[in-house]
Amino acid sequence: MPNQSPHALSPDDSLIDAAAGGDAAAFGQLVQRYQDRLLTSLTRFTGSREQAEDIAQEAFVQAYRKLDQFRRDASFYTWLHRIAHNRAMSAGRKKRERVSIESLRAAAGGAEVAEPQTDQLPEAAMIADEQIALVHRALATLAEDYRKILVLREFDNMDYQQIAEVTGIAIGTVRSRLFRARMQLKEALVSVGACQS
Amino acid sequence: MPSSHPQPDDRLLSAYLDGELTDGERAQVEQRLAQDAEARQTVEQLRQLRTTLADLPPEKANADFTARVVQQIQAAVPASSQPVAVAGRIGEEPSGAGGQFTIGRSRRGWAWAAMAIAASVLLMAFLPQESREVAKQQDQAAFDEGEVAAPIPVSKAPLEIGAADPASPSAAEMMTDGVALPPSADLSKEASALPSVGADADELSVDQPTSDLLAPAAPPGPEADSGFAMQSRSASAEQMATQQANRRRDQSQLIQQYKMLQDRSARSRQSSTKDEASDLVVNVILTPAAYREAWVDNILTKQVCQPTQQVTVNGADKQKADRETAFTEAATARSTRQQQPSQVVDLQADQFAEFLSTLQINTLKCSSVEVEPVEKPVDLNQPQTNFWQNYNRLGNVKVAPTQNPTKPTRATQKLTNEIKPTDRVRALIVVEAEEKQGNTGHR
Repeated sequence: MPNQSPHALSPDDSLIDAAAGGDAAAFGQLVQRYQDRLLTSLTRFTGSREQAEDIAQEAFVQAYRKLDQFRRDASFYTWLHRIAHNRAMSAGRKKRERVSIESLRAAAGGAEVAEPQTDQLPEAAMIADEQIALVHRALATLAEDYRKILVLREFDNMDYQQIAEVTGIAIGTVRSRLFRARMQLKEALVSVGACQS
Repeated sequence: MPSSHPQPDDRLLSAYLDGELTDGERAQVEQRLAQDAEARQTVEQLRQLRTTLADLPPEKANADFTARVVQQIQAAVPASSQPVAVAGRIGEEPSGAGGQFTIGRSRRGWAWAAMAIAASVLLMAFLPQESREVAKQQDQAAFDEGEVAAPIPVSKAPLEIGAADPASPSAAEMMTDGVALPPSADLSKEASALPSVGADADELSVDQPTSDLLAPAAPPGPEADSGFAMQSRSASAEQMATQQANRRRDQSQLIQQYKMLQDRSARSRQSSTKDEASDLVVNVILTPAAYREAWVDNILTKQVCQPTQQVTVNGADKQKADRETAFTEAATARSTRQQQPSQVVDLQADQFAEFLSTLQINTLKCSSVEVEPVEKPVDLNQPQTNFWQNYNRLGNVKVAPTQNPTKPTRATQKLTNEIKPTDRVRALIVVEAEEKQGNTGHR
């Protein structure tokens, strides 16, 4: 589901106006509207639910502080997302955490990844926590730039134009990085048996 | 496996799945898919990957997440950072009558403003000009980074002075963070000569009476509460005594803060003199051919620099040691993973720029060059450089595999134009797995 066009009348506008006037409750409604989406995106990017929650909370607070700087040339979520991922990338850079394929294999060996069964419905709720963690670790093997674009596309459902706006790179670059990111992730998942080759 | 043999047009396959192709490109892809089994397999793999990712359940925020954010906004966002009006505890009327007050527009507002001005004078009087510049730059840097909403205006700073919660950073600390003060400064003596600094924030909260004496030069205005003023006068002697006690306490707090900042500054200066870290960290991922031709032939054999195979960690500088350890681990991990040499080298920026130019000739053989700045210990004697400014200026630049070889790469331009030639660069040279070698002609 792509974001709505920034030129369309945004349902967020009245809440943003109220929040900009100091109405914290109005901002609370914005938080409620986007918290799950942002949290999902950040969890996939950081690989840690706990860290994602911290960053999301900080991002919302920072967005509130800087609300008067929001020029509305993009959607509120796009703007919020940019704040959040800047913080996430900054935090990730400080940690310098990059998972190697070797550690990924080791993790897979300990996690006993469940073989997908054809007679089992692939419902999201049925996916084991270990398998989710494995995908997160596979995502962590990607370079930040690749991972960011992949998350924007696959979990934030942004189109290439929106990704280009958020990341500040050309659409052609989005296209090529996305392809490389997918292929690298595929390799990482195949190497641990989480995905068929 | 097709994934290890990407062709130039393969990225169209990915965009094809996303519905992000032009009509012409889509027709081109469909024609290829009709003829090329390997391309069909790649598309199927990409489709399967998307399914795997889509099957991950979305995250759900905890039930109290919204409340926590709103609470944090109300509690942690200082009045100066509120988008427009001052809200929260200060603005709440205990009677439930509602309404907010704006600094300078009510009796209490003027009291705050008077405190702000007086405390600012106190702070500025003890800060040398150079230190004030540093503090100003730090505020601006924090603003640029988005850590604070705006550089804190001097007139609003003392809102935190004398606050009951010692854990919260005071305005004095924010203004003078990291600034060394003259050890000989007799703060208590000089501070006592200044008016109205010692007012307690609690005393000025709306649910307690506010001293009339704390509102010097307050314009009476139509909203002035004369009954309130009379009540204040009748208790003036007692309140003056309270003010003096508060003033002494706040002066004591300021002195403690200054000492703490002085110690911190001294420690920071010590650590900065020891730092010999690189100015830039660069990750270079090369194809085997580029490694041989551009790196071995042009750099190593010409002895431009020698790789540091084993980085020594002496523990003298923990930050440096951590960085080097991370590098060594990364090099080892990549080398092990790819069964190819990975090297850590230190060289000058101009040498590295030349190396990048060499790569450019063989641009199709270079996978990526990632440049990132290194955070160095703060040197309080120098103007502070904002990390994000640095990052935006230098970081995140890459050599695109399809870059026009006749033009300098963006990374080269950045390195050539914006990095001093004598800056030190630490490069991690990683070679892609040999299995991709057969495909280097496509890169």
